[in-house]
Amino acid sequence: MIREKSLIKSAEQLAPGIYSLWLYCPRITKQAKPGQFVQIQLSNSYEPFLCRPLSIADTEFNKLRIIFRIRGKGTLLLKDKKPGDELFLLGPLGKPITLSNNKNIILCAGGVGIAPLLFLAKKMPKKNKLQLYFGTKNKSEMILLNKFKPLCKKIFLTTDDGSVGKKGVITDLLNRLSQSDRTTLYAAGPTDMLKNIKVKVSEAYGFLEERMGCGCGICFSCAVKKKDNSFSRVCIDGPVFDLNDIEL
Amino acid sequence: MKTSNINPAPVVKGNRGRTKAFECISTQLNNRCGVKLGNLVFKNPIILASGTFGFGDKFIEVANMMGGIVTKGITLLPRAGNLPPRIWETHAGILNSVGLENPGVEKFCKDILPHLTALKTNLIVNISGNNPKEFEALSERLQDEPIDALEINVSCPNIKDKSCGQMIGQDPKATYAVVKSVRKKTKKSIITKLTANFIDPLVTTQAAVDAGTDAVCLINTLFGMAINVKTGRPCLGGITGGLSGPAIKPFALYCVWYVASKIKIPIVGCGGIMTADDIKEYLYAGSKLVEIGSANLRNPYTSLDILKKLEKKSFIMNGGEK
Repeated sequence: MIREKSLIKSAEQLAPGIYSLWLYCPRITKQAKPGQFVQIQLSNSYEPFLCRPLSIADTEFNKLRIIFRIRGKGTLLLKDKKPGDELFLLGPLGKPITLSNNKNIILCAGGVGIAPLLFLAKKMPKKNKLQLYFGTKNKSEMILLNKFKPLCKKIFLTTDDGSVGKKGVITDLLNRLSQSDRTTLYAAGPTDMLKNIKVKVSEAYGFLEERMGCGCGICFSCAVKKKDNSFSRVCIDGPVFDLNDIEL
Repeated sequence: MKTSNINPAPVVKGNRGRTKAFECISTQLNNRCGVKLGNLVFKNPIILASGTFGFGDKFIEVANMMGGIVTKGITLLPRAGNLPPRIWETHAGILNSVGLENPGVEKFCKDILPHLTALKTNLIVNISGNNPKEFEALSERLQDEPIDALEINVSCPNIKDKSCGQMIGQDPKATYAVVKSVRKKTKKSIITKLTANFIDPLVTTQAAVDAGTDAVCLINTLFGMAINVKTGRPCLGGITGGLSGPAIKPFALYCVWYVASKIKIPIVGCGGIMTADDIKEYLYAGSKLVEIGSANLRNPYTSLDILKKLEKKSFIMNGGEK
């Protein structure tokens, strides 16, 4: 775990309300693995007081990419950052994903949940057969598709308004899959989407979001309830959990 | 507005108007022999506050440089903690409602403590309970363990059970009973962490002193809550929480000054420390040691940065941060 001052190399708007930043931070980038995140300090004043946890969406030559949707005052501040600005990062945080032995991999993304799945898809061994299920509100939010096309055998899309792919939510499409053995599912998106996943696969993992304090396991704030009624910390026991182990 | 020096601190002539308190604190900060509390020596006045640095098994390089570290609160039996969300950001601070999640004293001694023995700093264990008997059992269990001191938590705002946590700290008689029960069972130094929620901290400090505490820590988090205006529901899973961070510093500082001017017992100042200047304020107000809490959540290396600034002699002589 490293605290490093990063330099914003590029900033771009991907869709209405969705932004991407490339940050130059060689030490964190070198250690970053799929499933991990960084804590970003947004200001030198105490507003906002806490850092913001954001998934690592991609890495490339000493740089890492974060993609975020504007949700509150933290992301509003982040949106206004420009190339040349500096940001303190703490990372990489969280447990890296242990890549599955199963050949068939299903990636299921809702909205900006597509971001951490990109890093995962890029790091998957070539022998794996990847399928992407991606649902958004509308056509304009269908981001990063050109990055997934060379990596995935099949891509299924849904939008709430039907402007691209099937009309509806992505879990409707996913749950229609017949039982698949030797298949691993990785899902990232809103909690409602994770709750709706009913498809029978051999392994199902979800990327969780919870309000965090420290991001590094010292404050016990980001609790998620497990099926045995105990709590796990999203920041050090996750953020990726076996969906059969937790209560959403 | 008329300004005056706090503490009995006459201006020393020929020293550019600095007060005795200033000289005293300069010596305290520059003297690596450090501060004493009972039998314990602290190499510097900074302690990492309970609940903001885990059990001390992470960021060991930071903990080792500090005067001490207080573990997350330990109870007799395991506690699962409160429902999420457990943290909510407020203006210049945070509300937390963790609810003392911990594995219980047995598991702590068996699984966690062995990893902490290599720490090169004072290891203080924060203990919490429902009644004097539980505190007694906790101190007895910890008496022969390799720890340096106990911090009695009678001020956690996130325990809703009646007659415990916060309730003890709001009642001088109950505070006396708890501290007395711990004193009976331990030879280790005792810090009693007190609250200022709906109670005069001077009264509970006096009770803790009478019962034999070696020091008091002022103050634990203040009661607080936040409500989601879209739903009308509380933002925290535990409904209410404890407020900490720079937002409470002026009040915490006042409590330290108010108690320090009346009671001669080492005070550990706690509340909203973010910078080296904040520590100086607490030392001027009369505390011997300080605890850094919420700042660790924003940046776990904060205390190290502050210490580096404090240790520069020029910092003291120039009278402020650059």
